[in-house]
Amino acid sequence: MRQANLEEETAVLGFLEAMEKGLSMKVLSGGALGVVERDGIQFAVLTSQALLSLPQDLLAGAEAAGLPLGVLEGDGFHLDLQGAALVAVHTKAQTCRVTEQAAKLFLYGRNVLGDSVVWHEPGLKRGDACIVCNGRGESLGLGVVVGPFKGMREAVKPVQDLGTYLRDQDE
Amino acid sequence: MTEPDFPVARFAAGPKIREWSRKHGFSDWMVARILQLTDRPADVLEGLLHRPPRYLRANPLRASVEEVLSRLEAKNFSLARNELDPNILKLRQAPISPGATIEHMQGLTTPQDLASASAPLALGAQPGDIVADLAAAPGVKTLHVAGDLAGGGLRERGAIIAVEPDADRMRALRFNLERCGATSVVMRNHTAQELPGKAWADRVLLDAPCTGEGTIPKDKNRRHGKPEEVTAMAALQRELVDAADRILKPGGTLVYATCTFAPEENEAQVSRLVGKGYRVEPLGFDRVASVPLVPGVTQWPGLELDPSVARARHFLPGVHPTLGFFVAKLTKRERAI
Ligand SMILES: C[S@@+](CC[C@H](N)C(=O)[O-])C[C@H]1O[C@@H](n2cnc3c(N)ncnc32)[C@H](O)[C@@H]1O
Repeated sequence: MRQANLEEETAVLGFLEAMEKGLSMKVLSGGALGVVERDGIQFAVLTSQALLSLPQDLLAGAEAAGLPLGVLEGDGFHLDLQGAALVAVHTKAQTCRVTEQAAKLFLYGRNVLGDSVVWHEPGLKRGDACIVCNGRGESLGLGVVVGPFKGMREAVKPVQDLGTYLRDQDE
Repeated sequence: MTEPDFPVARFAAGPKIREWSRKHGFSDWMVARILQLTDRPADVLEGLLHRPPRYLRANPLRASVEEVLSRLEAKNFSLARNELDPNILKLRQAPISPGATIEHMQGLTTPQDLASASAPLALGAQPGDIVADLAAAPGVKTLHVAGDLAGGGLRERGAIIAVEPDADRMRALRFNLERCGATSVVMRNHTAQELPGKAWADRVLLDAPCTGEGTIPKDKNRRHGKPEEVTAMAALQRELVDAADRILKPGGTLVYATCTFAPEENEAQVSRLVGKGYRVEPLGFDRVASVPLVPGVTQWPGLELDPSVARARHFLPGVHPTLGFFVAKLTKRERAI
């Protein structure tokens, strides 16, 4: 775990600003960006300056830290589940909203059919990544637009969904 | 220098206890010991056989308890609040497993026994604190502490160093904290003994690995045990207590908790800390569901216990509507001037 360098910060903030002007400030909301490496993957994480100021020997070699927003690859960045959840709180950009029934199915890894999309950002087109939301505009996960937003054909193919967390652990 | 092991006290199990234990598949030495802790033996025996109510906790990093209540009630859940922790809700009726709801997946809720909330409540973490959680997975209490670091807001201030040596359990910890939106936690996959440094934590939570007798009501496999397991756990717990003592700042708060009844794993560890100059503090709460909690024992064969360990508390199944749990709050002496 370490503080994100300038290049990494630019990749994350640039990605968010490209979605909507001013979004990066809203998503970070006073927090700081860190980077955690695990299994050869660099995760950009939302955290605080207080955490990044901890003694180096407590940060180095951490398995995880902060809230993962997405993955840094080459000089680019792409969103993960929690990044998408935060983004959807602040913008409708690159989102679509689906019926309650479609939301349930999406959480089990199923495609979204065109007629199940109750609203979509007008600019979304085939091949785009999108954030799939329920009727309240809360992110359920990430998908790719694969067809028209009407009819019984598939419109959005799931990439990652909150169903990953479907577990009933208790104490 | 290694200390001698605590001897594990044995009490004669009379014919009634032997018969009850045989009938329900328990080790009778264990039952005889558990009954020493209570003046309501019939209730405790009954409590050991039945799963207590289930609870979940609203995650203040995601939503208020009122929002969680209204969303789950709209899905025909029936939930009740309690006086110990305003964020914990008892499940009176659940049409589906609460872990299968969208609210769970979105991190608005987490299953958490009411007794287990007592440890973070006693810890009383404040925004800006540096907290060590020395036995963290699956992170139920880590998350509770993270919520406290947010002090009623949505974003934490301060940091938690959460340690877990078991790789699979670490994964569960990571998933839970991610699901629930915590930003303040550093997760380290090694033992608490390997944690570096000295006197850097404002507060330490040691929810120690233990023989787990308190979870018998939900896990029949725990009905059997060997006294040697208590001895082995007590030895590990001593090492963990030493690690906690090393990293805690003078004047800092240490909460020691287990989900077992055994005084060798509980009061003896607390008493050892008193020997190192710690003070046992009142927890700040003393009852659950209007029933007083049970004070720590001060007399136990083979143990020399400081009288102040009576300020620690036991939750007993059958007496309290929870699993079995032990919790003690201690403060470390300020450095001598
Ligand atoms: C009672 S559980 C902790 C529950 C957790 N605090 C929670 O609220 O979700 C004890 C944990 O201690 C871990 N453990 C075992 N040996 C340990 C050690 N030497 N150092 C730190 N943790 C250890 C176990 O793997 C287990 O996950």
